[in-house]
Parts: sequence; structure tokens; C-alpha cells
Amino acid sequence: MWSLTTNPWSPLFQLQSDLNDVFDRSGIASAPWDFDQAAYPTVNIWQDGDNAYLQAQVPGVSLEHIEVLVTGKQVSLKVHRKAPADDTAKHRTWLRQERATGDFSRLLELPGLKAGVLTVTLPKAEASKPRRIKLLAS
Amino acid sequence: MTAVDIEKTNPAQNQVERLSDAQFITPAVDIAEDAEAFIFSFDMPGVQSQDVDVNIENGVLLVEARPGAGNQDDRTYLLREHRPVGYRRNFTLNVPVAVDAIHAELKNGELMLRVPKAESLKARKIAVKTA
Repeated sequence: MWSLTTNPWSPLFQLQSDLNDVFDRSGIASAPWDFDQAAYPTVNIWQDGDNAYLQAQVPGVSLEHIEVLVTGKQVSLKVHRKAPADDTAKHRTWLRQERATGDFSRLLELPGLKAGVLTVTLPKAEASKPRRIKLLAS
Repeated sequence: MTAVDIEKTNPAQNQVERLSDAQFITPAVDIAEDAEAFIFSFDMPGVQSQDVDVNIENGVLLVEARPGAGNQDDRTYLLREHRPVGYRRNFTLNVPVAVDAIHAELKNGELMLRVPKAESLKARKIAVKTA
């Protein structure tokens, strides 16, 4: 399990992030190992009127590997990104592996959730529902 | 034994470009090789298939995805960790590939690219006969 919320390397990521900022300002492209992207999945939260929206970027994760848990104002988001299939039988060799796999989680705070209502909107192409969505009394 | 090497071209060619408000970033990639092909897997969340371009020119594979339409700047963000971006990355292929047989597929925010090797490069088993 690798939880990014309790990552012992956070100070180093912060340093990397600061360095990335310097490079960003210099106009040089961010490297693929840009640790700004180490916050996986990246999340946007916005609000309008009575609604708050949470949008996470989870490339490479199928719906059955996404878990959303709400407790009071807190939203716990857990995703599992499968490692590529073991293809040694196919004599496949890796030339490059930049994408991390495994378990990732984010713990986020939403502005006041009213009456415990949480609407999960999924892209229309992905019709099935996540494995588990629980609303716990706050 | 097959010293097949795929490497990124000069990083200077990967400079961040601004196209109106859109920004292009370098997507993370996994590259695998088997006897038949190279298999690329890119992280490209938020991309539509019609916005992806794959080209090979002078031995350079260029993969580009334009950012999705729609301005999201007018929202009231409490947290903003990602923006609509395009993706661009190129690779020098120092082996011949079957350009016309490249297969691309977009699924769950991942772009999979199968780039078959040219016929002459595929591993062959040579039968050895006894004299």
C-alpha cells in the first residue's frame, strides 16, 4: 500500500515540486518524472450554488478499482492501478516504465455537504457503478 | 541480444508550447517490446480519440493529443490540481517499423499504441538441418 496522504517522501516531493516550478517558469518542458504529478489521482474540487463537484483523473484505472467513501465532509478516494500483465511468457521486455502501479488514496475535504447527499456522476461511456459508495452519518 | 533502442529525441524539442490557453505536457509512458512489435502505453486522461494524432516522419514517432474543448476557468475552485492539457511526446525509432500497421486505442484515459516491427526485423527461428 502506498498512501500519498502519509508519504514519508513528501518533503522530497515538495523540493522536487519547487524545482519543477523553476523549470516551468524557464519554459522548459516538465519532465515525465515530474513529481508534481506524484499526487495521483489529481483532483479538482469546485462548487456552484448548493453543489460541490469532485473530479479525479485516474488514467489506467477501471471502474471496479475505484472506491469512494464519504464520512461527514471527508471524501476518501481509493484507486488501484493494476500492474501490467506479466508477459514474460510472451518474451516481452520493458524498455521504459514510467507509470506507477498499485494502490493510491486521497483524503479530501468538501465544503458542507447538505443532508448527506452525494451524487456520483460517471462518464456516460462507463455505465457500471463503482464497487462501493457509502454515506456514513457524520 | 536485439539491441533495439527507443529513445526520446532531444528534450529541447519537447518544450512547453502555449496554444491559446492550452498547454502541452509530456505524458508518462511505458514501452514494451516483443518479437513482433513495440507497445506504448501513455497516460492521457481527459483526451478524446478524435484529438489524438500519431505520425512517423523520418524515423521519429510523434504522438500528440490536443486538449479537450471547453473553458473551465470560470468555476469557483476549492482545489485545482489538473487543467485541460494536451499531450505531446516524440521518440526516435532507430529500427524500421510497419507504419501502415500501427494500431492505436484509447481506453480509461490510456493511449495504447502497437507499433509492429518491419518484416525484416522480426525474430525468426532458423531451422538447422543435419548435413
